[in-house]
Amino acid sequence: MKKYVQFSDQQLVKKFKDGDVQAFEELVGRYEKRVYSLAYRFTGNHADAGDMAQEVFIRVYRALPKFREESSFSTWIYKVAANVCRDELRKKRKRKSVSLDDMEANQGDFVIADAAQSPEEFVERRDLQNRVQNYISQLSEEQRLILLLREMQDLSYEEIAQVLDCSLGTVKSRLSRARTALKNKMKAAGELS
Amino acid sequence: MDCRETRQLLSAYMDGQLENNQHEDVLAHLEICESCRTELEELRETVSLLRRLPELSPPPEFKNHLRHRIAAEIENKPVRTGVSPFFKRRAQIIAVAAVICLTAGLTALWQNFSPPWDKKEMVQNVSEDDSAIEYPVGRESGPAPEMAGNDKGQEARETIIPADTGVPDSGEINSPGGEQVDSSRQNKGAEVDEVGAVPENRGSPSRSPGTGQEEVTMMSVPPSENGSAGGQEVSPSLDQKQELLMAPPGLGGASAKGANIDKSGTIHVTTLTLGTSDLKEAKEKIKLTAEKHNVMVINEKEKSVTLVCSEQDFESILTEINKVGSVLNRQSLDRNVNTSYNDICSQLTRLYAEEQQLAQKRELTSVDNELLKETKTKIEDYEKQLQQMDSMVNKNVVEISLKPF
Repeated sequence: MKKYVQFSDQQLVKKFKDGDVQAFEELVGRYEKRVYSLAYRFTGNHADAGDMAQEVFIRVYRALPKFREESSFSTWIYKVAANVCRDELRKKRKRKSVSLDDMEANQGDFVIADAAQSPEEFVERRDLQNRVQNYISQLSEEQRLILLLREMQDLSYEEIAQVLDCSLGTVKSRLSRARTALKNKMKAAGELS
Repeated sequence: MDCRETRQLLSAYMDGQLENNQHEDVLAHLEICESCRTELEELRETVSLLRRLPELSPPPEFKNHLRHRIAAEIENKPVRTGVSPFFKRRAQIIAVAAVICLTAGLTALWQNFSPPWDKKEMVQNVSEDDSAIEYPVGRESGPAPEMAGNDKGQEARETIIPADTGVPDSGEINSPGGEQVDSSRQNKGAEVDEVGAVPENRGSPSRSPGTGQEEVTMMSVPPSENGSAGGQEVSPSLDQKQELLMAPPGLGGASAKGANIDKSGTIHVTTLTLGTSDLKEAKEKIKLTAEKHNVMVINEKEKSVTLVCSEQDFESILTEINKVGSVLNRQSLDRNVNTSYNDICSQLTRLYAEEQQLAQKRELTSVDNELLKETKTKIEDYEKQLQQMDSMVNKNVVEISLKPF
C-alpha cells in the first residue's frame, strides 16, 4: 500500500478503473475518517455512523467505474455521503423508528485527547463536545448537512453547491439559517458567553 | 441596510462571501449597531465551537468489514457485458480481494478479545451517563466477532444496500481541486531505527482467547514477561494490553475480570478560589500542606495549584488551605469519567492493533517505521493519560486558584 501514498486521488481512481483494487483501499484510507465523522455528526450515534460510512464506500465502489471525473473525487464522495445521509433519514422515517431521543442520544465522542491536557480538562472538553453534538442533532436534516460540510469538512461554498446540488445563493441562505438556528439553540442553553 | 437585512448576510460576511458593496453595507451597519455586532460575535463563537469538534476515526474493524463486503460484492455480482474494464477483469479482482482478505486476517488477530464494553459485568455496571460503553460500532461493523457474525448483523447488511445506489450522476459535478490526502499517510520519509522500532512478537497469534488471564495491575505494565522471543525486552503483549484495558478506571487490574466491579468512575472536583496578598507564599503554604498530608500536586501554574487527595484527607486539607487566603469561591462537582476512560481505551485498543499489524510485517519501509514511531508515541501519551486518570478516580481533585489582592 505504501507505494500508493504518492498517488493523487485522480491517479488512484484511474488505477481502480484499470482493475487495481488496492487503489480503492488507499482511497478508503484517505477518506474513512472524514466520511465517518460526517456520518457520526449527522446521525449523532456511532452505530448508524458505522453503517452509513460503510454504505458510502460500497456505493463509491460500485459507482467508481462510471465516475466521469468531471469533479474531484473528494467532492464526489461527499455527494455520495450526503445522499447516504438523506437516504438513511428517509429509511428511518419510513420505519417510523426515528425518535428525537434516538437522534439526540449521544453515544459519546471519541475525543482524541491532548496529552498536555489534565483529565479534568479532557472531561470538560468532552462534555462540551457532546453538548454541541446534541445541538447539531436538533437541527433539520438539511441544516445539519450544510453545517457539517462547511464547518467540519471545510468545503468551500462552491463545493457545497456541487455536493448538495444547489446554487451558490441557496448555499449562502441555507448556511446562514443553519448557523443562526444552532446559535439560537446554544444561546438558549447558555453556552455562549 | 437595516438589522434584518444585515443579519441575513452575517453568515456570508463571516466567510468573506459577500459582494463588495454588500460587504461595505454590512460593515457600515455593524459600526452603528451594537445588537448586530453581538449577533455576529455569537455566530462566530458558535462556528468556532463547531469547528473544534474532533475528527473521529471509525472503529478498528471498519476496514476489515468493508473488505469483506467488497469481496462479497465481487463474488456475487454477475459480470455484465459492456461495463467497465474493472468488472471485465473479475477473476483478477477476486484474486486480489482474496489477498486483501488474507491481509485483513492479521487485523482479526486482536479481535478475539472482548472489549470492555462487551463484558457483561461491565455493562451491568455502567452508570447511566456513560453511554459510550456501547462502543462506536455499526450494527454490522460490530466490535467483536461474536457480534459481527450474528444474524442481526447480516440482516442489517441486506437492508443497507438499496437497489438504487444513490450515487450522483458523476457528470454533473465540476469541482476545483480538492485532492486531499490524509496527512498521516503522507510525507513519512524520515528514517528511524529499523531494528529497534520493531516490537516483535507482540500479541502472538498462538494466543488462546480467554486464557492466560493473569492478574495484571491496571497501570503497572509488567516488564518483559510477555513471551518475547530471544528474551527481548518488549512491552506487554497485545493480549495483556487489551486485558489491561478491560479494567474500569481506578479499580486496578485485580478487579478487571470483573465480578465486583465498582460502577463508579468518578472524580470529585472541587474548585476553590482564594484571595491572597502574597501569591508566592500562598502557593508555598498549599504545597507544604500537600506535603504534610502526603498528597499529590498534579498541576502547578503561576496562579493555581491542583492536588489529588483521598476522601479521608479531603476535609482536613481543605480546612488548612482555606486558612491560606480568603475563600472567594468554592464549587464542587462530581464527574463520571467512565466514558472518557473507555474512549481512551478504545483509542489504545486501535493503536495496539495498528502497532501489532506494523510489527508483523516482514519488511518495514521508512514510512512504516515512521508510522510505528508515531503509533508508539500516541500509545505512550494515552497510557499516561490513563495512568493519570486512574490516579484521580474516586479521589478528590482540588483546584486552587489564587487571586492576588
